Amino acid sequence: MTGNGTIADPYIITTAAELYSMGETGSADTCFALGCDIDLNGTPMADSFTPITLRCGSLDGRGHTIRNIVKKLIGGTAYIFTVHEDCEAVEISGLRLDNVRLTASNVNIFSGTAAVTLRSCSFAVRAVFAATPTADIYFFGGVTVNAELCSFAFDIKWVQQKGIMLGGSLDRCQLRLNLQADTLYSSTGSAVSGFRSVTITDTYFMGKITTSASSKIFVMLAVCTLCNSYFVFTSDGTANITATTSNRLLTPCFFDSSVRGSGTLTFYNFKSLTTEQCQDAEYLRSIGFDCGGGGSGT
Amino acid sequence: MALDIISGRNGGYPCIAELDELAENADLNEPYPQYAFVCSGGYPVIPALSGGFGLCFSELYSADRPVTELYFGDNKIYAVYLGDDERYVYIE
Repeated sequence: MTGNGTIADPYIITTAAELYSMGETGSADTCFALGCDIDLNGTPMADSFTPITLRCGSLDGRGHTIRNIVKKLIGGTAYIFTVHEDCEAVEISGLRLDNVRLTASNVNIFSGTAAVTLRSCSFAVRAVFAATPTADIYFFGGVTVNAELCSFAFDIKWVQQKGIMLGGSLDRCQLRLNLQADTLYSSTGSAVSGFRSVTITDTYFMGKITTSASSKIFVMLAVCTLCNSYFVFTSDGTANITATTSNRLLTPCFFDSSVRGSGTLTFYNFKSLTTEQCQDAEYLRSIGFDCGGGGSGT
Repeated sequence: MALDIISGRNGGYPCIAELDELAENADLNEPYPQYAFVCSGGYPVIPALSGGFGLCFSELYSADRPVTELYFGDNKIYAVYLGDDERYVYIE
């Protein structure tokens, strides 16, 4: 690899083999960058993907994509990244993940306990939980993720619905969540929430949850702090989607109550708006939601 | 302002100008994973397989949409052929 591993002159990764060499050649301070897209087709990882070890201070994707990550396990946990034990903090920027397919008893994006900063990243991941995990029950894994200007498209199928993110923050992010669960919860007290103790600012969530479960509670948010964020979420089936009273809204946030589908939407302390109101910048500003643009339809 | 309503973007809802249009889902894009069944106007095929394998897992897609069953006419498929060898298919 070219480069010296510094911020000014990172090691440049141009092959899958070099991507996987981070685990051997890196350290907690080493800086890496992608020099091109990395397609795992045609590599040993195409047949049997193993997690990419992040042994670095930073990985700059430079707008490039790692694609065709496919793993199916009978039991066990499938990860995309393993944060090396040497690393307390890792920053990933400008990285795209595409064509990611993970099936296992448990699926996490990250393995490890570090603080992970994601900047200007775009992840599209489809995950199938073949059983009910008892540990690392949050989709991002055991790390603390602070994401800024990121896009996440997650298609997740659970046996028993689990969480997506615990702690950390979402700042100016957009999320598309297509969620499916065989089993939900009978009460908010027993539920694992999708997002727990997350600070959410200028972020929006679009998507749906599909279920035919007899226990119907899906807690989207619990113990979160929110500013200027909104939800457009549909219950396609029996799910009653809720954001509990434990959340703290520092500025007005809203949800589109017109697209709830066949279930219910209960977002305590959020403004309940019609679709037309959601798409009217003047109206949104009138209720204290910070938004540029004109009136509805402009 | 971090959020703007921009004509033609995000279905009319506020969006973040610096970000690309949010994908509708995490469906596959070309080039597909080489160990996925892919229908390209014909029967499902795993492009990378060339015989001599043991157990292989794949998802099933038809026209970029996930499917859960394979049929030949009105009959469910339980076996496929690699050359002249019959191999069994288990669909979960």
